[in-house]
Amino acid sequence: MTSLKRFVARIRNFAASRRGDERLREEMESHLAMQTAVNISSGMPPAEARRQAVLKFGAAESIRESYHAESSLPLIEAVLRDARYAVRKLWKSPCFAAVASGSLALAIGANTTVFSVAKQILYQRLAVPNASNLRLLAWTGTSEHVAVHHVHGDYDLLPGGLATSTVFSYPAYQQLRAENRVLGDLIAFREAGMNATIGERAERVLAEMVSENYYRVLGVQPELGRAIGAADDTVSSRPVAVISDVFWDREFGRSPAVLGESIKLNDTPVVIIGVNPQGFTGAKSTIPSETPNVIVPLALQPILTPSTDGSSWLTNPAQWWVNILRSGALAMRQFNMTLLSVFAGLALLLAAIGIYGVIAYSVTQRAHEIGVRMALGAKRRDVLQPVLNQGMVLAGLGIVFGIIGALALTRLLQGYLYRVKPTDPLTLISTCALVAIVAVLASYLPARRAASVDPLQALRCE
Amino acid sequence: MKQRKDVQQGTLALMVLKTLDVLGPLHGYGIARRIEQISGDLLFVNQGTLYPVLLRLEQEGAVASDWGPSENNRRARFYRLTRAGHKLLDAEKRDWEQTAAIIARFFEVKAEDLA
Repeated sequence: MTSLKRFVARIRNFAASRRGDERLREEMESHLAMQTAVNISSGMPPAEARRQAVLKFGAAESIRESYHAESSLPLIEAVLRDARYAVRKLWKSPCFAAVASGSLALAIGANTTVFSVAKQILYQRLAVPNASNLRLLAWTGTSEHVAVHHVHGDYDLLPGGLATSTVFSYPAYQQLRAENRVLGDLIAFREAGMNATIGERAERVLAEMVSENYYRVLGVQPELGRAIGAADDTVSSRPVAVISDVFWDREFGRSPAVLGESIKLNDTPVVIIGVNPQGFTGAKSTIPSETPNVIVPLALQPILTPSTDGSSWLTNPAQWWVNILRSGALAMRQFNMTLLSVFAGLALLLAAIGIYGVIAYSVTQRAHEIGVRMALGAKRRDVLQPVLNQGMVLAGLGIVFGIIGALALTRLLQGYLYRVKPTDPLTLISTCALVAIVAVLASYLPARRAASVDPLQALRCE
Repeated sequence: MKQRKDVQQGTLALMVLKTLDVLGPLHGYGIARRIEQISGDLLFVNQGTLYPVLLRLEQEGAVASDWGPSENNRRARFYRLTRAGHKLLDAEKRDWEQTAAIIARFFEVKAEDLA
């Protein structure tokens, strides 16, 4: 209770720090005046009376210090004072501060951007054998003059009056595929929610309508039965479907007799011809919960999801609705991305070495000062603290500018990369943490070395 | 020459409390003078060390202080004991007497008493 009361009083004093000093000064003054008066009345000359009074009072400075230690929060005050000192020190050498915090900012900004992009390109892939060669096609146009009437899918506005989307019309897909000489092969697919009826039960399922080359290009083999092939993707083919492993497990208890079973999709009977392997999440997503339950040929679109005007979207060039994946030799891009990541890592390393060098140099400049302070009996901690503070202030500046820089780069890159967020939060946090640790270490190690220098040696340096 | 004694840690606060208890409100200089007087100048107090102790007691709520005019019409800060201060003084006094009694018994004891 008492200690709580004292703590509150201390906080109050801390907030109004001037008042305490003022009060002590005034009390000291009146104390000395009274003692002086008493001394004079006992026969001392005034000057001597005053001198004796001061002597009797004791060392004013040390009293003020212990008074202050009683009255306020010494730890917070020390931290604030140190931070002020570090900022002032950096202010005096703006060049040093600019170079050090600038290289930190550059390291953070560039690394965050590059690693975020690399992480998405290199690590977030579909669970299919040649996923690294797959790319989702997208188009970009001006938002006012988009040559499309009906977009059934994503449609994003970009800075500069541009718009982008990943859906195409089926005729556009056929044309792209027919005229394609360089892209490898193109897969068309479209996800849609449908009503499935299995025996007496009905449920909502996620279906993926796919082009006939889907399984071949993705390199996926059903774990049971066969894949959808060219013969299934015509208007006159018998309607067939491949179901997911989870759906097979849930609805058919993993019975091999599922092949040849008939289920209804939006009231159209389709025959199950195969079961997708475990872990296959479809062409659209890498998230298991977004796995399509049923995969059917695109040729079934007019029957399964008929449009209100009765026209087939397979022939209508005004309806843009299918996604296109392309496969092909993209090893060069991969290599470039890896190379870029390596260079970004090198940049981080160089920034660390740079800041180490700069801070180590500035500490060497202060070796004499540190030697004198150690010789005068300064505590190790007190000598290390200011150098560490300086490093932390630099790291703080670097992080602030680095985040601003990364955000600016993001806007620049967004126009070139589809759906890639250059500021992955995890990457940003870990890059900042890494840079901060490097900066603090880079200032701690030279500071420790300076503190363990023999005072004599430091003094002789001069 | 008389040997002067430094004040033990913590005892100064007790002396301050007792002085205020006996003499009523006093300013810092007055407290310092009384302590010297009562101790018969055996005690050496750097008068200034009193002020941090007074501040601490005030923050603990044992004393309260206000500005007021001194005997020769100077502005001085007067300290007085609060209700909590009286309680603290009683507790400290009991404590001190107990300690003193224990130490006294140790000094009085003789070898034959323990046989």
